[in-house]
Amino acid sequence: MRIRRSTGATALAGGAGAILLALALRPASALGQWGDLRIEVGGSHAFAASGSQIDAATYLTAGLQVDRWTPSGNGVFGGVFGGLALDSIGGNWGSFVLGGEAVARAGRAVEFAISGSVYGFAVGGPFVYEALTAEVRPEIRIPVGPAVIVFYGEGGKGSSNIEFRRTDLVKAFTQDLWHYGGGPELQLYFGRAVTLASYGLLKTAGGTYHRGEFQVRAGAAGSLLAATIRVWDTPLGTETTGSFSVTVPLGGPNWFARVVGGRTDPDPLVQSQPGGQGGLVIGRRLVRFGPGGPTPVVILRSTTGGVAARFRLEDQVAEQVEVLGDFSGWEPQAMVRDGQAWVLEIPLAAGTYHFGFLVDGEWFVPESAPGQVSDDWGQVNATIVVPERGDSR
Amino acid sequence: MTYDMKVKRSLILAAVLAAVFAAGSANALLGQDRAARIREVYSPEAAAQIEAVVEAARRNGVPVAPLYDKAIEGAAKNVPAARVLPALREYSGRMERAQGLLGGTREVAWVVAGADALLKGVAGEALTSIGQDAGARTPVALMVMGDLMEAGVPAERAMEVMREALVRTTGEEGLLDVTPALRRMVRDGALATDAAGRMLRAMRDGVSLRQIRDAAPGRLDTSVRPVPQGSDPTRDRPPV
Repeated sequence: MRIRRSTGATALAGGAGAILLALALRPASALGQWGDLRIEVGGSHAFAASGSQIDAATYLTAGLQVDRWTPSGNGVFGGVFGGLALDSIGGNWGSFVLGGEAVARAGRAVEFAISGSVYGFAVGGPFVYEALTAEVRPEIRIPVGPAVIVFYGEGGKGSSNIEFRRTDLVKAFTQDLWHYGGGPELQLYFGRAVTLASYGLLKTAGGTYHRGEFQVRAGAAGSLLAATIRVWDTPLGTETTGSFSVTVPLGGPNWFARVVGGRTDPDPLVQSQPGGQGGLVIGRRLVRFGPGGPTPVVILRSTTGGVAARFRLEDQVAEQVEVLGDFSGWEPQAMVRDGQAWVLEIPLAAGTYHFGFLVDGEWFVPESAPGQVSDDWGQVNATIVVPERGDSR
Repeated sequence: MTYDMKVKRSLILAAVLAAVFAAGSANALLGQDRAARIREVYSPEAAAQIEAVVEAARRNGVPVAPLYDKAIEGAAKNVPAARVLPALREYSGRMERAQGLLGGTREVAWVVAGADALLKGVAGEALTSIGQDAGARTPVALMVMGDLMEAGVPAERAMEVMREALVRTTGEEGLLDVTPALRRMVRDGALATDAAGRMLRAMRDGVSLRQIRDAAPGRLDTSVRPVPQGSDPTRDRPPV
């Protein structure tokens, strides 16, 4: 389950524009089903909110992000992002996030999960600001048909430092940040989309916060859309916020563009000033991690002179998947999409064959493939053995 | 999805599969086609050099079809001929050694699997031992032995696992469960050596490799495979 929660740090005037962008641009969701390593470069802008102390600022941004998931839902993610201020108002900034999620199950009925992340942020002058926070979220998940009922807890702790400089005068402040709470959540799955509605009650140093949230995530043809609306009832009043992220492929499987934008949450662990932010980054997937799940080839049945082998590769992002190997004279054989996987049956005579997949034109052998062996040229082939009698599998 | 939609989808899938199935048959290369293909995809000079490597192998009794396949693979992966030729010579030598260790077999599947196992660090004695113990299952057994060693299982422990698996399983299918079972335990946090030891004990206790492969984390004795949200291949996986 990869619906991320927001973690953050205090943002005050001066550093606020930068941290808003850092929050918006940090790793949020994987582009690949099993995770990937990707680099992103682009531009971003923090908008001044009416009546606030925040100044608008523009940045060149760049980041490196990685995430890795197993079929059972355990995974880790991390990333670094930074911004170079293009005007004198904003300061150069950098951020990192490290996190993970572990899942355990009690039969089919209940799933227990715990996720956590550590987030760090620093912005240079004119207003020096640093923050480090950690957040943990335990969940009990109860699948009911296409829905999942979730009861979650939420706890966060952190601290921030800010320095005010006026020629020879420097004043530094340190602030402890914390919140804890929880609530119910309902997730509904429709094919390649998921909607989420939740309520949260959070206790903080600044009083009690109520949070209602509605979120939609959907993927199609290599694109991903995520949109969130939140309504906050805080000691300072009621506020509606939201954010969106749209990722689209750019002329190939590994290049993509990501547009983010939104209005700042009054999250008690963020305590940011009201404002908006937006950015556009161009990304390149450097490594695509493969499935660790079902073996990609099984022998279905005996045929005259051999067997029928079924090749299957799970990949919901790819536009085209082909299989090729000794059995096809190394000619790519187009596979057919079947739900979340690509499949193809091929008749094979008895023998030992090397093979692999072309995912959007790039060589790929999943981790679960049997008989992985070097091809002598820097890549790996998988192997299928078809027994002489062909009736054993 | 309605019943009609399911039927329609099945028919479309069957039709596409049938078409591609036929295409797959047509693309499989016969022996004589392979030499012609080499001449198509390589320059005359490179093709002649490849043919010389193949002829030398043929004289030594080494199967030549895998050499042709390797050369065709190199062309498909856009590897320059200058890099293909050394790989072919090395592969030929490895197959010849595997052939000798497997009692001079002329079974191509055995020789290829043996050559791969040598490449993955399986010792010559282990190759011979598996060839003697596994009988017709030798190619799969060699492949699995190589997978175990590559996963980090020490040679002696891997050999113990293979011997136990050969006794406890029938057919190739049983052997093919060894590596997924090991990977399952490694994925759940076990070291490869420990996982192999646990697998060995579980097999001796009568637990099947399939049960180990499908067991929930921390449980080797479950007979019910848990299907967590999003990981059931029969259901749509949520987007990420």
